[in-house]
Amino acid sequence: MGRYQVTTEDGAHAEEFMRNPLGRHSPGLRRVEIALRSEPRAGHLVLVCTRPWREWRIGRLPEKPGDPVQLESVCYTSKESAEREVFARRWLTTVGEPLPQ
Amino acid sequence: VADDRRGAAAAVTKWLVGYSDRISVRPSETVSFMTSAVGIEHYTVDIVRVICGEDDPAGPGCNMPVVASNIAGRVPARSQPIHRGSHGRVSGIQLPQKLAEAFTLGVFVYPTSPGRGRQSLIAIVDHGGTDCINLYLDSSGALVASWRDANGSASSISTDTPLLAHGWYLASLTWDAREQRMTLVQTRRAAVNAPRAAHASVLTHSAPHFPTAADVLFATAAGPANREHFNGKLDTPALFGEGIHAQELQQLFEDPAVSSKHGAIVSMWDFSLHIPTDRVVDIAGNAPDGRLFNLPTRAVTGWLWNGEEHHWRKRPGHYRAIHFHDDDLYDAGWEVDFKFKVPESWPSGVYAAHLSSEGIEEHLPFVVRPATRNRRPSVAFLFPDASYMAYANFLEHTKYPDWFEPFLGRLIELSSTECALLEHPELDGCLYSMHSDGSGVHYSSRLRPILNMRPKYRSAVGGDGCGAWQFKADTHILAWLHRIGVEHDVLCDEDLDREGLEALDGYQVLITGTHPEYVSARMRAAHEGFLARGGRLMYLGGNGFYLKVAYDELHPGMVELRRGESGSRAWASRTGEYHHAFGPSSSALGGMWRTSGAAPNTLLGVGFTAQGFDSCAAYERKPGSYDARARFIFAGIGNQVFGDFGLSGGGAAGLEIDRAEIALGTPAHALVLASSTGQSPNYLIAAEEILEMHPFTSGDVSDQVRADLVFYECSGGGAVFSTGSIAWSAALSHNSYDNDVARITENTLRRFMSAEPFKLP
Repeated sequence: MGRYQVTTEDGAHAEEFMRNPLGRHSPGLRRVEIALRSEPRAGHLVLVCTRPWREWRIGRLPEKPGDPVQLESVCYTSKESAEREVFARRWLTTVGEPLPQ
Repeated sequence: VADDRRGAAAAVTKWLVGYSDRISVRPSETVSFMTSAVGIEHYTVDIVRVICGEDDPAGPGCNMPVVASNIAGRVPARSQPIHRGSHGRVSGIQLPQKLAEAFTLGVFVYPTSPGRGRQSLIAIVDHGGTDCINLYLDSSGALVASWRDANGSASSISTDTPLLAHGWYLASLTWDAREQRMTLVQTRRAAVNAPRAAHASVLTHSAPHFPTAADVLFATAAGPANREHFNGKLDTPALFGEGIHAQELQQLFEDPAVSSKHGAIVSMWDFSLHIPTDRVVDIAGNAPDGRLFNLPTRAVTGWLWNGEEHHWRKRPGHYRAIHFHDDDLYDAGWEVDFKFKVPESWPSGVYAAHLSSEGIEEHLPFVVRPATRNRRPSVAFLFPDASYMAYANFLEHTKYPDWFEPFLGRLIELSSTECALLEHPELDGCLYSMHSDGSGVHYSSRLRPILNMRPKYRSAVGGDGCGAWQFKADTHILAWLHRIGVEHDVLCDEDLDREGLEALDGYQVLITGTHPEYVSARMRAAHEGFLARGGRLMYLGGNGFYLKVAYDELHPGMVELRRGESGSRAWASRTGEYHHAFGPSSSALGGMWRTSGAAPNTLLGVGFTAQGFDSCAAYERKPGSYDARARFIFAGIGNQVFGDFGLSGGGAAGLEIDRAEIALGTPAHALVLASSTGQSPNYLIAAEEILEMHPFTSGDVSDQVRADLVFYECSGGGAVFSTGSIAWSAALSHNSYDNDVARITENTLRRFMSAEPFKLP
């Protein structure tokens, strides 16, 4: 079987994530998270704290040492919102379809 | 949206960093500070006392009062470079004229990143700094020799055959003036699958010219720092005044003691001599002693090593190699920007030079020990600088995000400090890092900016919450001591290593930091001696006393680490390289204390069992907490479950956690007072706990994934209290310090401060 492949059948897990992005998750969602969070280093999405404790933006890790983080302009005032946004993007890339509404 | 998702470079435009020459000073002594800046003209300096470095709005608040204002006026900001890369230099060697007729320059080479740029193996350099002879690997990894004739014209010769990484080669260059022939040979050490030898030979009228006095460089080329560093090992470089065939040369290298008496020998450097130093010695006696820079790794296997012996002192002939890295660094070597003499009247504590300019700031921490003539309080806090160095500028989460993020169970969060660190790879490198050639970093030093040894630093591995880790987490303990009004001194790991048990004279209670993972032999012995004479130890952390490190008096501010064949490891030492080069008993076996028969349990009652970096858990009281011996600890505690709060992951039990285990040395009479329950599935059991593979490895299925709170008495009247959790300290301030974790800790401390001896049950 190898590495777990996230598919549309994991919709219920996605729903669980969107309800509660941080915290204790079901074993099924944990498996989905391990798959989605393990994207390769080059361009790996990260959270960059732009105002301590108050504001974050999504960024991408640089491809080589010495290069700056690439930072998006949208600001998030909660880490949960940023987690949802990144999860949705990774879902789209991996599953090939947008996250079910 | 698509454009925005490509992002824009978040380049850092202002930068102010620094370090101090000393981490520990006494009143009336002076500490010097070195800084480097970009984008600012000046900065000002205050000295602050670091009582609490936590700026989480949910926490107790930073508490860093200014104790000396504007100590240096407006300090001009300047940029100071860092030159990484280890190398060796022998200066002023007298070269005989006969070399113009014939010579052989040979060395065993073990490249670890051939093909990554030009890498110099040996360079013979005149007093003007020009390479006369240079043996190097070109950008394809092939062996090349270049030389200059008397007119300065350069010639070169190449084998045009790249060396393969991780194999031993004999590289030799031979000149014969009679035949006007220069011959270059690379021979892979015999192995059934070794490639054929490669050689090149040219007739040339360009005779190499030797100056009468020269410098010899190992692993770098002449010229500015950071030039053509070699990644890999060199073993026994040698220069002979006659042409020697490669086969004969190999025989000569097998026994340098004999070869050094060869009639044509000029110089032969046996790198197995003086391993615990920076010295390299010519056993032919022709050259003055050479010096190594930036701590290349010694006590590493050479070309003769065959696995029969793992101890470099027992068979030095197998350890004639030095491993050079292009990113080694010991001392940044910056010039001093300002100094501060500690006033006579200052109490012991953690202080910092606070630099500020145009909206940016930097803190450069140092410890003030008590004046020697002062009466000492009964309590001392041990500032774990060895462990701070081990984690210096930790960036592994950005190097391996593909497994780090799933492990964290949340997005990797970067602070502005980490973003800046990513742009300054010259500051990268701690005991968790690998060198650019993939080998583990064995040395970490504080003689460079360490940006995570700072107040307010939020670490990605500090759990979901305040991100307290190491320095900041430890200030939670200082803040709590301050809050309950307990007078205390502070001393450093390196004080304890240097002075031994004497450093603890006068103290009755020793409090550790939250993660004193890295411990030298003398530090450990001092703890044991302290308990034996009735001292009381409060281990307020997790995964402590786990790995051996060595300090070295010739390299102050540095620790050495070897990782052995077991344990939770960021990298593994190469086989045969498990013994320290440095330390008072240099050549000691490195790795986990557990593999040296001194598991943390034998001292602390608990030892590392698991780690996870998402949420933290609560403790549940165990029968031991109701034992009369522990009554003083739980006085006023009505709850069966406590510690279900805290700034680190929402619980007092977590991050790295320890458990009691009699089989590993927990004293049989130790009381397990409480154990954590319900660590998350992201908590995974320590690697050394797994022999056969099994599925019971995570917090949701393994009984071993728990933090144990332990108390035991010692025969000399002392006692030990251990929390077995890094997250404990960040729970102390909950509810304005009115909580069970703070109460249990204070109950214990107050009893530990009393003169009444503990008795064995």
